[in-house]
Parts: sequence; C-alpha cells; structure tokens
Amino acid sequence: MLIHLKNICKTYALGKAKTIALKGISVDIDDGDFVCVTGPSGSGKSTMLHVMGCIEDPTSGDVVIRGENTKHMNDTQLSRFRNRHIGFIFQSFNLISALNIRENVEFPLLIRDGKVDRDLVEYTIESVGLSDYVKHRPDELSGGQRQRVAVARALVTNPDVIIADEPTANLDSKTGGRIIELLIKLNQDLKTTFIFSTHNENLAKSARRSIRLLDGEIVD
Amino acid sequence: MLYLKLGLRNILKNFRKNLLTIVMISFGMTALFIYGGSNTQMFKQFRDMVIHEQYGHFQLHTKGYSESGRKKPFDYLIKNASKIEEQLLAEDFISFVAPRLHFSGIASSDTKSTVIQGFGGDAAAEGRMEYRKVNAGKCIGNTDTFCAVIGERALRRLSASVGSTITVLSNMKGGGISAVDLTITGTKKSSGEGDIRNQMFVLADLAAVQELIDASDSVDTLIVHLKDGQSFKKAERQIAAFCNANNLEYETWNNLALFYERSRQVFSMNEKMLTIIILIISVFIIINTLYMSYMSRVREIGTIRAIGTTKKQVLKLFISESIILALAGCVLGITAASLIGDVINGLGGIYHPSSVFNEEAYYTLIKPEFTKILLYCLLFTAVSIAASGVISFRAMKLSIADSLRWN
Repeated sequence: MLIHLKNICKTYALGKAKTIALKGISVDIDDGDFVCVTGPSGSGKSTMLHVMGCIEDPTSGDVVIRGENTKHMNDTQLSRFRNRHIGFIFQSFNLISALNIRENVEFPLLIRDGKVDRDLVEYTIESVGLSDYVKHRPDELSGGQRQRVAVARALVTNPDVIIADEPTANLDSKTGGRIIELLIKLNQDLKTTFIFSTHNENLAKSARRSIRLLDGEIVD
Repeated sequence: MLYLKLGLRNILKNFRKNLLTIVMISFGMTALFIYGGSNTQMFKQFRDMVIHEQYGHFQLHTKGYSESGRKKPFDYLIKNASKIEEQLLAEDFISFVAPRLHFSGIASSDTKSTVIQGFGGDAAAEGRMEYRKVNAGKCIGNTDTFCAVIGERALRRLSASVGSTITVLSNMKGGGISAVDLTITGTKKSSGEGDIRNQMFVLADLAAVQELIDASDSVDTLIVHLKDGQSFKKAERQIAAFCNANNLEYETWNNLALFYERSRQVFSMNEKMLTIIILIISVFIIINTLYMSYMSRVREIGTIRAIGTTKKQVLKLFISESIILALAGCVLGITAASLIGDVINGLGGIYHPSSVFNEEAYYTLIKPEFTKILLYCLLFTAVSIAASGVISFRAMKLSIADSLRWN
C-alpha cells in the first residue's frame, strides 16, 4: 500500500467559528492507482489532497506514506519527503514565472541536492511534448502547455505519487481532456500513481477508481 | 547559485519596484561616501598639521619629566642636548629634530611690562613648524641671535612693534634672576583672541634662552619628526629603545594632541549617527520592497514549498535577493559618489572656513578610505539580510496550503 489515511479530521478555525472540512475519513491508495476525487465545492477535496500531499497537517488522524507516518516528521523532513515521494500539479499551474521551462522542470532536482540530470530533464520535457519550448518563459505558453510543464515538473523527481488538485479547472474541455489523457498515459507507461480531483464527471469516468466526497465524508 | 539566479531573475522581473530600493541604497551610499571621504581627508590634513606644525611625531624628555617636569623644570633638563640631537639625526628614519627650552618671566618694553611664557628654539627647525607662519615680520632666522617672535597680545601690551627690542626677565636654573634683550622679528599668527598660548608667547633663539636661564647646551624637549612614509609603530619601537639607552622618556603625538583626538571622536560619532540613520531608513525601504515582492509571490512561495523547498532554502532565496539589491545599490552609489567626488575634487575640493582646526580657510578633497567603503557595503548588505529575515519570517508563518489558496 502506498498511502494510508486513517481517521483524518481537519477543522479550520476562523475566529470563533469552526469549519469541519474532513470528518474522520480513511482511504488507502495502492501503487500504480489512478484515482479521481470528486465532489461539490466545499466537500473537502482539496483539503484531502493537501493532507495526502503533506502540505497541510490533519487536526487528527494519521497519514502513512510508504510505511512512514508523517506525523513524526518536522518541517524540514516533510519538505524533503515531499520532494522525494510526492509530485504536485495545481489548478493554476503555479510555475515559477522568473524561470524558463527547463529551469522550472529542473527546480525540484536543484533544491534536492543541487544536481541536475540534464538527460532526465530533457526526456521528461519531451515526454510531455514540449521539447521545442525549453527556453520559453511560462507566460509565453498557452494554459495547456503550462499545465504540461507542471506535469513534467511533478514527474522529473520520479515520485511515488502525483497529486493534482483540479488540474483541468483552468483549461477548456478539449485541453483538459488532453491533460487527463497525458496523465493516463504516464500512469500506464511509468506506473506512477496519480490522484486528481475534478468537478467534471466525464473526466472522472476516465479514472480507474473514484472517491466521492460530500461535506467532508466519503460517500462513494 | 540557484538562489542567486532566481533572486536576480525576480529582481529583474519587478525591476521598477526594485530600482527604487537600489536608488535609495545608492543615495545612502553616496551620502556616506562623500561625508566620510571628506572627513577622512579633513582629519588627515588636521593630523598632518598637528604633527608637522605642533607636536612632531615624538617628544623626548628626561625620564620623570612627564610626572614632575612642570613643577621642577630645571631638574629635568636634557644635558648634552646637541650630542643627543646628533645621535637622533643619525637615525635614518628621522627627518629633523626641534630642541626646545621653555621658560616664563616678565617682558618689558621701554614703557610697559607683561607676563609671558616662551621657549628657545632652533631657528631652522622652528621655521619648519608652526612658527613659519607669522602675522607680521618674519620668523627668527638661522643667523639671528637674541631675536624673538612674539604673540600679538603680548606685543600690544608691551606697546611694541616688529623691530623693537624687549627685555625678558626670568629665573635662572640656580635660582637667581637674569635678563636678555630680544629684538622682535615677527608676530605670531593666531587663530583667535582666545588663543592665549599664542597671544602671550615668545619664541626666542635657543642660545639666548640657554643664556637667560644659565643652562648651556640644555633643553627640556626634543621634538622628533619622522621622514615621510616611515612606519610610526616601527619608529616608536626604535625611539623607545633610544630613550631607554639615554635615560629619556617619550610621548607620542596622539597622546599630546588631545584636541585632535576629541575632535576626531566627535566627527566620528557624527559619521556613525549619519550611518545609523541612513541604515535605518534603508532597512525600512528594503523591507517594503521585499514585502511587496513577497506579496506578489505568496502563491509561488507556497508552490516551491510544496515541491520540497525547505524554510531554510526560502530564507536563502530572500537573502540572495536582498544581497543583490544591496550590492547593486552600493555599486551604483559608489559609482555616483566617485563621479560627484571627481567633479568636486576637480573644482578644488570642499571649502572649509578658518576654524579651530586651521588658522586659514582650506579645502578638503573627497577621498574615502577603501576599508570604510568596504565597511559601508558590508553594513548595507547586513541591513538587507536583516530585512530579508523579517520577510522570510513572515513567509514562513503562512502555511503552504494557505499560500496556495492566496489570490
């Protein structure tokens, strides 16, 4: 088993008001899974992915990835753990605007140990079909191309899992479909585990497994 | 390298905002460069004047003079002064020696008398020091005997003038009273009415004073001037050895020139205050710029944190940006200040009216010391790093998830 979420609760405190985002959910994700998380806005999709991606601590419960309980890690250990085991794709692409495409893809390797395998970077960029754009800046690319760069950046560290929070939300349906196709292909070719969230029921159908959230609880 | 590259790119990306910071740092640097450069030169000139015109580099006396010499000056005379002077002049690091024999007494003209202080000195040596500057007449010359330069107030009190003769009455070494007639060759140029030392002072030729107090070939002070470019510390070791061998003691110019030291401390304090004020202003400007930069990149910072950048690495990123900003500001400031300095120096320097430092108006060039410029650069860099620390602390307080939700 790759990821094990056990009785995860997440509560946000806004002044005196408290919002419960996740109500004791438990999920297991296996190696090579291609999982879609669906649910209406405010159902807790992003919170679950953030907790799964170790970028947000649960209020209670355990997150175990590759047998390691993240509860016992400090911030630096968590940062290194994310860098080695988890890749992220964001709704708004979140590329570093000051860097070109190659540098964006190289970035997770550079912060790991300062070393870059140029061949690996070129191969990864090629695998998302952007070999001709390596020296372009993010603002010189279309939305679909930017999201491909984000995919390459997530892939380049060869992570155990790639977490994509609504990766198609800022793309038109055709481009969004292509991105999901790319993720499926990479899942099949590289056996990388993908977990993505979406509102789009059609895209959700392309996943092998679906988790449906409603009001912070898994309903399906 | 990654952080510097990313820092530089971020600065270039928000160039207009960052330019304001760079310009502000450069203004500060320019102000410090010019103020510090002018001060450095002013005190270099002041130091040279103090050494060359007043105290020399070292003053030698008989051992014990500094403790009891004022009470019993005749007990601490340097006997065989001309022989010791010769020995000193034989040292290759010494330029010249000015022997002095101090006395006090009463000066009388035909109609009036006044109390005076004075000393006998070697005309050639004194002519190279402050007594080369006289208000009227001329300094005593090598061939002049029984001649004197006299302070302006003493001259007025005696109703005397250049060319007239005064009689100086003083105690002799053995306790008796003696008198000599001195012809006034010139009056001492003085920096002000309050300068009693110059106003009521007499410089007479050494032989006349030695005869007056019955102390042939004796002096109480030997003022030693070093040759240009000599190491002061090395010379001090040699002078100390010489004094030990000849039952003498010495004082250095900076121990004697208390006014110089106090003035330097006051100006140094002013410079420090100016530096602190400029640095405080700079830190707020840098914080403001980095904060604006941070606010426009909250999500980007959340992203790089999510993909594995540690807090320490984020700190390094901000520090890199701040160092680049500081160095760019310093380089621009030094360049601007050098150009301004060249123009001012080309026009003759900064004008200073006559003051307690100098009897005449003078000009100082803008030539700061390299170490001072380096210090300013380091201070601006340190301040920038401190500012980036404040911003980094803020960036680290925001959770990654909150950063990613930032709009």
